[in-house]
Amino acid sequence: MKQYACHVNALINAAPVSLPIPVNGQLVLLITPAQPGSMVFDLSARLALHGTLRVLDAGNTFNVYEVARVLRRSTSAWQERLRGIQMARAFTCYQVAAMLAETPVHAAHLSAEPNATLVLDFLATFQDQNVPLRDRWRLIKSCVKDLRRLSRVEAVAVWVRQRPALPSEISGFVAYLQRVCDRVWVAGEPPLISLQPGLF
Amino acid sequence: MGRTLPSITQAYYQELESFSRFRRALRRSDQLVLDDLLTSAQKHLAAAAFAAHAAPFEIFLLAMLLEEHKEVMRLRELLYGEKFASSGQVNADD
Amino acid sequence: MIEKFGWLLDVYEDVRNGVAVWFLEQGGRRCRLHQPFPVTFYASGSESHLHRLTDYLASQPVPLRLSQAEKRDVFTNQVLPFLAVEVLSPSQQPALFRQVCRRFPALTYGDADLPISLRYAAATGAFPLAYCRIVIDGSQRIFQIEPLESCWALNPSHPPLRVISLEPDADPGHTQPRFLVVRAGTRIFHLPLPGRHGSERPFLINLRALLQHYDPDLLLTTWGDTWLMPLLLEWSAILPLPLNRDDYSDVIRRKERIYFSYGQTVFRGQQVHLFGRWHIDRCNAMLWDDYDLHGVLEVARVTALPVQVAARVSPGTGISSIQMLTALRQGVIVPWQKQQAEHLRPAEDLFAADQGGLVYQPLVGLHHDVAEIDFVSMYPAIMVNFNISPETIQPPDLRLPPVPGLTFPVDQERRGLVPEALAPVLQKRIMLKTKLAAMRSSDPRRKSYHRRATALKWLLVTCFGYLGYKNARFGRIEAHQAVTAYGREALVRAKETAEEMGFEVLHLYVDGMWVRKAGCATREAFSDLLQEINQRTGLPISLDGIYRWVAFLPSRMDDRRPVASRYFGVFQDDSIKVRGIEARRRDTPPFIAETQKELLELLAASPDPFAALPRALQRLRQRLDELSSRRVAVERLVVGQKLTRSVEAYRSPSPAARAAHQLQQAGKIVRPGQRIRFLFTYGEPGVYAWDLPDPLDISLIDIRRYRTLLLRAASVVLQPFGCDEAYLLKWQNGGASEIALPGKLLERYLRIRPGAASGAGFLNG
Repeated sequence: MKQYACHVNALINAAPVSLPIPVNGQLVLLITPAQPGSMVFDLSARLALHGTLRVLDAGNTFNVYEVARVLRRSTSAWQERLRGIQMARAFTCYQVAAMLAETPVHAAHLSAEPNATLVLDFLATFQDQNVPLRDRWRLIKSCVKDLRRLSRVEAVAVWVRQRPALPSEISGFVAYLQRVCDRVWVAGEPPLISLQPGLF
Repeated sequence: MGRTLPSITQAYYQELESFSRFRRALRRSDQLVLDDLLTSAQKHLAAAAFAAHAAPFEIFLLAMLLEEHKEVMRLRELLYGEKFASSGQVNADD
Repeated sequence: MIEKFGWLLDVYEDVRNGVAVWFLEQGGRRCRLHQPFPVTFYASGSESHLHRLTDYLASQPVPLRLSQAEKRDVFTNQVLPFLAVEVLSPSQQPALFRQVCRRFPALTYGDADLPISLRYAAATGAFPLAYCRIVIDGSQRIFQIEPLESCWALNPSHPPLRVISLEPDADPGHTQPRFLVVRAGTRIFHLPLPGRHGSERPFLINLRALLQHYDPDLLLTTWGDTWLMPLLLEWSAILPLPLNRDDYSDVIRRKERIYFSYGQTVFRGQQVHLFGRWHIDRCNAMLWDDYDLHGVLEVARVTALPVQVAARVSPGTGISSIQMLTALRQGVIVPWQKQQAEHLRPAEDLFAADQGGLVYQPLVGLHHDVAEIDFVSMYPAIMVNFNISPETIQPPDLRLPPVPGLTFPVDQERRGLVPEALAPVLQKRIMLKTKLAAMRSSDPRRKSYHRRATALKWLLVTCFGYLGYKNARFGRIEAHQAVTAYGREALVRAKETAEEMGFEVLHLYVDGMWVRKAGCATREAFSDLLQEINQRTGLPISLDGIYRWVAFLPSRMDDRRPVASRYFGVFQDDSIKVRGIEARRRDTPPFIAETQKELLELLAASPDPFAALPRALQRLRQRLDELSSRRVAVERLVVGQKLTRSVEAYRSPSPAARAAHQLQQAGKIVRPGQRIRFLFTYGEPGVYAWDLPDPLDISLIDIRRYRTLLLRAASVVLQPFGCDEAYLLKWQNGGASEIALPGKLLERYLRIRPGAASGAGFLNG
């Protein structure tokens, strides 16, 4: 498995455009700063523009208003593209593992469009200290098994946040993911959003 | 607790954010008028939520227009009497 | 064999065998009985895994029996095969299960970590405080137990409990108490506590004598969990105290906890549980102020949780208990961990589904003759009436009508587990409230009914949140969404109905509505409206009351903006209802909260509140003078703010954080979630923590700041009548010696409808 890290300033120009529908599939790891700005929603919108998108939200972060806003700027058929996005949420690491285990492979032959699956804030629930570490490792390995299963047929991207003071166990998870994914993209700091004062 | 979609109030502030550059470049006196206009949309957040619209700003605009029109009707009533409050009654020649 | 009648007090695992059952006999004797009680947990998974589990269990020294069983899984509504592990001695089951799930984490488990009292209640029907008939033999072993009443009884039987109350004469967090005040029956004893160098023996001898003489069923303490009990346990090395009635068990101590719940940091002190008796600490009992012992006992009855646990747990745990009890009774397996994630759905469903209740903006200002009508326990009523439960949510189906506003329907054919669990709770609360409404104020049952209705209310209020809670065993997001969707639809229908019937709708808030119509000022005038709404929504709705006047307040920041939940008003029965203002907030100093209440009461007492303004201002002037001349008792100026994080975590410390820092410097321990008490002082750091050992020089109290706070609190209440903060500042400085007459008020604030959208304090009617 070839891996390389690519530093990009704006994710908009990177991963999504070059995520093809591979025959053998690729599992991509996207690492962004803790506050990625609108990078991830831009990515979701681009993926939805080009095909059908499945969002597996593991961090309660999918702002569908934002994605709709980006789609509207890109196409007049924005509502149709929005309708092509499917979503499921998981709120504990156990649920994340169950969610991935239950996710079926996209029936690729039924649709002419490319299919992508995007997992959001994948490690958010794995920070729960109430779950024994060995259980969290078992669950992550189970998740990776399912991610590889899905990535054989379609494009799968897993987004994790790089927090500055990560507890050591989380860095361990990130390192593991880097090893098992086909490609790793590390996004730099997003451009400063704005210095304007708020409206009120 | 499972709420992923921003609340209608949060969505309202997020929409306002996207106009912050426009507002900033306005004259101070115009900013105050804009603020007043935008505040009036807050009166109808519950209805906006119920609308469950994918593009809530369209509803907010409608809400602002609603409040503006209320003022127009009130002023018409003051000027011309109750009969003429709603549209279509007032003629420039009257 | 002997037959006896009496009350079940407590059930817990007996380390020797089976369960220990404490029973209060009809004649007054308290006895510790025992009963064999094997408990079963279930496992399912791949054949090979189960095989290895079977081998592992066979090698364990714990006596158990394995068999195949079939249990219903609530989420898939299928009957599935399970391996049943029956552990003969219940006290060994928890440890065994912990070992098992550690070795075999990939298996699915059910009925694994249930409180023994729940299992007992499900198996025998006997719940805590139930009046029962039992059959025992000479060795105190129970052969039969039969409850003779239902936990849903409106008038439950009353076991003659013996209660001793233990309370120090001062708050141990603030000063060293000198006495322990012991109340037993009608007698009061003051036991001197040992001083710094005194001996503990005299105190312990006295306390032991009292405990032995009265042999209480309940030790009701103040600061018992966090101060008294740990101290007594420490001193028991000097002289053992009969804290437990049960010689075979040790007192249980639970550590303190901090947890994060619904955006709030909650601090729970350590706990001390007894065996054979109950220990309840008023300060550590959840919601004690709301419903005290009556409520606690009611919670124990309906949830089947032991009394000491029922007193301390949150209502969420209570509701979960009721659901688990219902599942056990129905043969539905209680999942050990909530595994279900949400099913894949179109993301655009979120727009309609991922919402809460409708919160409108009220028409700001003063309104007369306003009726407040509320749906009765709206969300629980929706869950029960529309059969909403994790397993009744269906995928979108063209043949079935969907939940209003959403895309999926709810199965109405099969009764859901959650509605089944909730229905009796809801029904009982409604019955208690109905009886209360009809009761005379002198009726001795009032207090008990009211407290119990409140306890049930809290259980109901939590069950909705629990439906969407990530760790809830019987929770499911779609069910939670269905409930709020029905709620929004019901509120909008209520609005439509009111408007069609000629009412003006002043405000709507999730499950309640404020309406008025010229000429409608009696209950009868609104009964048609209530009936019609009930008809159109299928939900019970009632008239909370009719306000003589009510004032909806604008935002503190911007008085063009109304705010949904800041208002106050006077009902026709002269009672005052207040929401969202200083008098209701727990952090406000008592002096300010009381003054605000006083002003409100003055306004409420007069038929025309405007006529009472001069008197109110006079009272305000009095209070300001008291403040300025430092005649206000220091305790009444104490602010009590919660510390939301650890002191170090603040970037710019709040006043509470600064006070907490002072306490830390003085060697005291502070935790997030704790309420920190302090006074505002001149200069830096601007606060002085109340619990510091050295008393404060009261001349350092920042009187100016308190004056500002007082004026602000007063302006909140007086503003709808024309005296806003600016006016009061002028008035305070002697500028306005006359009150603005209603005529002048009209000039300042009147707006003509329909454009009367913004503007504070306009008159109505």
